[in-house]
Amino acid sequence: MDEWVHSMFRSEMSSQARPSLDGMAQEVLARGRRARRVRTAKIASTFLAAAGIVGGVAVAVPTIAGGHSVAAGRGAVARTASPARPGTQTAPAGGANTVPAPAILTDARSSASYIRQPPGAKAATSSAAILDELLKLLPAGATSNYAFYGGLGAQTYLDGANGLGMIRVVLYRGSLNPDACTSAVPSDMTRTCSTLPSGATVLTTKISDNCIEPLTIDVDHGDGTVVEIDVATCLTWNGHSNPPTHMAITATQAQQIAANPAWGAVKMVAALVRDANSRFAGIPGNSHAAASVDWCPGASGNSRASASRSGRTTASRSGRTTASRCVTASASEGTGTSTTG
Amino acid sequence: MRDDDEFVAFVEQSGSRLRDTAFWLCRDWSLAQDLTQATLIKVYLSWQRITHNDPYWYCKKVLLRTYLDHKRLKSSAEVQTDVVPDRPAAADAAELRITLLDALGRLSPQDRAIVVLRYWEDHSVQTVAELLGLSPGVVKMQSMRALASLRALLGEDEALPAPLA
Repeated sequence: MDEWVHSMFRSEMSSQARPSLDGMAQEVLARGRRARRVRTAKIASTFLAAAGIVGGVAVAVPTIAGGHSVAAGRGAVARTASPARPGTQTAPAGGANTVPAPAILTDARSSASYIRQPPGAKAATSSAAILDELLKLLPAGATSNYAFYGGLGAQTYLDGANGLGMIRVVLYRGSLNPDACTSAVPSDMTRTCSTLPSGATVLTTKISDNCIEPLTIDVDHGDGTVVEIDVATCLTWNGHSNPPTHMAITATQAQQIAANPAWGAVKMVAALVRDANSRFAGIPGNSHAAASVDWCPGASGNSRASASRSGRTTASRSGRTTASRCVTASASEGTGTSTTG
Repeated sequence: MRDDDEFVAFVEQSGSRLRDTAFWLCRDWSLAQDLTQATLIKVYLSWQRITHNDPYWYCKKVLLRTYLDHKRLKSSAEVQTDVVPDRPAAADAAELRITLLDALGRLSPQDRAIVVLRYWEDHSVQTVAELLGLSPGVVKMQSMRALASLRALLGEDEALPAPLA
């Protein structure tokens, strides 16, 4: 008797046009690696916070007891506060792919502010403000396929001098882990660090088999803000693949964007935030406040693609779906396309 | 220890199967693709720690949890009904008949999961219970209820089986 239901399932499935799964494995792998890096950074931050508490106790005791060890105490704090490296390992001979990269972020805030935000009224940073600022900073070209993703992040396509490409920006609270510059990384990754004239550290990461993040520039602004720019060599998932493209901007341009003083992981210029929140209010899932998501299902395309195709606004009804933070406005919706420059 | 190459091979081997199951659960290929990707990313994060002999088993558990969580989040926006919409009277008989896909859509997410696992994945009551974290008795009861709903929706003449003999 059960066979009747089985055959009904099979019959209906055979009548379905099943979309291709080409490229899904690579897409999942790329996003999985990213999620793992974010998670590793969080673990490092937690470890660091715990170490900071222990270090604080260690400093307090001799200071109270002897009353003379302020300098030693600072030293102890400084040592304690050096970023933990839970994910750091030395690459085995032969360079296996399984070496986890060290966390690139810590919760610790730099004492110095290398890149100061402009003065004036500030408001809580939103993904809309990030997208708006990114659009202002990009070189000339038509932009489209806007999306918000991650906690505070935005994406756009740019069709400019280098052709069509995808760019993402994410803001993190904390600072770059200095150990990320020197530690072993997986064989498919390279990391280099440099310092801007302002003193801000720039971390350049290249991942050879990741078309979403083949080039990532992180700039530590020194005020608790780290700006990450991802320059992709493919577009978002279209249901069949991530169509290959060229990088829409150069590493130098990405660095200039990341080092712009307008960025702030906590607050940005109030007028910008207000205007951006209003301008991108039509995009479902516009998160005006920092959201605590590590990633979004379909962040690199599926949710957005389906939303654009069907015009569904699930997020506007429930407001709580993960896809709601990852929806791209289609050009027809009027908020997804514009021209810069 | 499992590595990335093994993971990619696993995705290439099991991704389609997983997405088909996701499709029956959500009845939308785009959403199925999203659920599958979300599931696989979660699995990737635990890949080196998965001790189960069959990673697909673990994967399926994650998919079900992801799907049910997704439905829970969306529940405020969904309106469930047991009333089949009216169809044009002049339509062809085949068009008049509600499809299994439509009928599944009228089940609760958990009932749908039970039916899909029992009759698409071909799992035993015990296995379905383990996958969903329910007792076998609950699975039996809900399966019976779900099949009764399907029978009503699909028509008496479809002669759905007695749920669990």
